[in-house]
Amino acid sequence: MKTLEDHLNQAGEEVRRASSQLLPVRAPEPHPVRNRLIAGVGVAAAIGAVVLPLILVNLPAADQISPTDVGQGEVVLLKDPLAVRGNDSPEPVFDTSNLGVEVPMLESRKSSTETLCTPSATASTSSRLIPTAVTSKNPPTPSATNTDTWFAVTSSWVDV
Amino acid sequence: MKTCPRSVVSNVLLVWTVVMDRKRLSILPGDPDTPEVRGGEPFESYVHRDGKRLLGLAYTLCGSRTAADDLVQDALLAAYQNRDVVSRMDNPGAWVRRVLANRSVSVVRRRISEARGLARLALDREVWQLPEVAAESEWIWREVRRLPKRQAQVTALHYYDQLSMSEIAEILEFSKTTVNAHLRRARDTLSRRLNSRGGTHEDA
Repeated sequence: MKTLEDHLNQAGEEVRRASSQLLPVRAPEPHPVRNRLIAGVGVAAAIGAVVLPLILVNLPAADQISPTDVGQGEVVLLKDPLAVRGNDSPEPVFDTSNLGVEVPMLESRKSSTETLCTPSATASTSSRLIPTAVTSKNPPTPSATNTDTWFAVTSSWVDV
Repeated sequence: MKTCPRSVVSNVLLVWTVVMDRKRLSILPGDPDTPEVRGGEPFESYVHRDGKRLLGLAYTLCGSRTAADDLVQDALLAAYQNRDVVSRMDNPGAWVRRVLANRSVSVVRRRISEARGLARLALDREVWQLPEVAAESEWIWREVRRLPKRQAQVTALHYYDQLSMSEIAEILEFSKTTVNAHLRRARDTLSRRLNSRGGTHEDA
């Protein structure tokens, strides 16, 4: 007669024997993903905090500014639209007063050029400069009697 | 203000290399920083000594060889990650067994859904079982796993791991009275099921 205790002991013994014949359990090899992530973020922060400013400081445009110039009054002419202040951020400072003057001048030049160079306008202007007598098919023949009249006609220009 | 960026980058890489070398060396056996379990025993030695017993215990609790492998690795990984705390304990094996018992609950739940899927696919479950375990014993452990989880854990720790009531109480953080009560209820339930199955037995 097997009791419940016997059943349980036998079941435990069989599993113990079976598990003892298995291959040895390998120790887990943790992948330190979190540590590597933290270290990677740290290195990236170090690069961002140290290397990038050094690269920006060592740019060719910045090399032209000596340390003694920083904070010593006018370092850069503001008339140069791409000028950079030595003690400010490397943003270009534009001289807006210059631009304000230049833009209307360009516009006025452009408008006058357009007026003179348009073919239609040129044609109309030249036609206005042609004497009316030339356009006539039958010009008056000069004669002794109307010479004064002829000259009077040829010299009369259309009023512009 | 002139500093070469290349020198800064090389210094950063040098520090990185030193740190990673130290981390790699710290998990080698014999190193002073090697994780230790129980009174200076290296972690790998503990795994080698207690791993198979843990695997058997996991099998009795979850009923699958593959799930038992995963369960043991989970428990050992938790011990490794908490090695600072576990190494100062008097009985680190009890801590590992408690983690294993607690995590086996979710593993059993997962296996129920797996069994339903296998039943739909009409696949054989035998490939997941331990070899050389008789069908009678398999039936016993299957009935143990059907018990309430604490009763099943107490039964497995007592009959498989051959632990005393006080050792089980330490592992599961119960009183000895509670452990005795769980074991008594488990025996009653198993006895009724064995009777209904037709097995011949006498209650202990």
